Amino acid sequence: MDPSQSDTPRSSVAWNGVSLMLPDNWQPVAIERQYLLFASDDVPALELKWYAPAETEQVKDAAAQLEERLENLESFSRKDSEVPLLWRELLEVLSGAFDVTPFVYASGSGAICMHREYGMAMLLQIATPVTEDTAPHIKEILASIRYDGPEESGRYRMYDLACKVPAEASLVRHVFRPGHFSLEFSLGDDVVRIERFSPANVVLQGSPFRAWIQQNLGIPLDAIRKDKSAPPSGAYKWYKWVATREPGLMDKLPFIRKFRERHLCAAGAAWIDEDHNKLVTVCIDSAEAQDEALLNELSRHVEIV
Amino acid sequence: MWKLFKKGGMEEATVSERPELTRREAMKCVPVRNEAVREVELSETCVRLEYPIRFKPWFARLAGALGGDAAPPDKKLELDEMGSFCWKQINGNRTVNDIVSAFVDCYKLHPEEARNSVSAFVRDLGKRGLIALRPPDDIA
Repeated sequence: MDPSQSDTPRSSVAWNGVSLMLPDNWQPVAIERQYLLFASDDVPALELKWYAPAETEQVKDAAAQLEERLENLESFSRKDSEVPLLWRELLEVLSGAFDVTPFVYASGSGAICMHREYGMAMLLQIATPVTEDTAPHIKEILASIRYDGPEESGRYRMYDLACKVPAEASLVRHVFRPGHFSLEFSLGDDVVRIERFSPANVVLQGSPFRAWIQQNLGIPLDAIRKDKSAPPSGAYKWYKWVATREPGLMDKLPFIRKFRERHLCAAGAAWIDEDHNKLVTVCIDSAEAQDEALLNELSRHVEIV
Repeated sequence: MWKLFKKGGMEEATVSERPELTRREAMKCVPVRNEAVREVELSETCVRLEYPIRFKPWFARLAGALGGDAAPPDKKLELDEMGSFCWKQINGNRTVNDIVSAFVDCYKLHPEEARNSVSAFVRDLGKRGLIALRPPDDIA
């Protein structure tokens, strides 16, 4: 990892409330709901773990627990005399929004950051040596760290998939496998799923797009219609559907009915981003048919970058 | 997820299986085809690889002693479009990095996505004995 390579282009990463700018050669190697680990050439570079404000009451406990756990790190110290002055100075860029407690340990430097406004706690660990050479670039990275409050729309940007979901949407599941990225959110009683398939020409295997939607998403062909409104970014045409699933035999079982009745209506949109050769779908599973406003809003903010 | 192989799947590499080379070094290696592998064109984009199964020497001797066919049978491996593309890129000159670049250019993939797929594919071909990796001069 060499953050001193100032010519390395940088891209933004946004995940579950946290966003920052990183060199393009720092790639996410572990992605969890509230945890990100970035590596450069397979060497860990930056680790972020955070506790969202929804758990505010637990945040202080969590911070205390974090500190306890950190004390097990080899050569852990947060004494002013042992934390290099340079690292403490670098962390000042975070002090506008966070209360920062710097520390050092055998293989890197870190900080516990408490967001003053939103009560979010974040543990930041950086494995690169903090030297005069690397300091300006580490400072740039630290300065770019933002936390969106719970009232703001959820921004996501990971690899080449970017999207924005309503503030109330909560990330439930995610998949980042070669060829298939998927983000699933719960939004009240609804489930929102944003998926990106790649490369589109291979995924489709020459079959018509509508047929692919029918086969892979289980939508009846006659429910899939070409939409004439302005397509999402990168698409020249797009398809939408609203389909109601008939309750099956299984739905008659009381135990299962309670769960399945919640998602009897499927609405969605799909399009191909020709420039990037990606196939994108946005699906909403809900109890009853919705107007298209939410679907359009979600689709408008999905982007292949 | 891409399968790359139509039959037989890619196995996830575990930490204990990590090669001694670093990933960066491995990406600079040149994959070289095993000459015993025959390539059969199935369509414009897909190929099938046929290669002899290697018996353990004791098993070959035993089979011979029992009057069995000493020549090992062929194993067949069908590659999907992307697997076939990768295989065709392996010419003894291109490095794994070159193949990744070709993959990115051809299919407009995210570089990291292409890197993960190609390295897993190359690793799997290596495990099956269909290719060997020639290290670059600076780490040979």
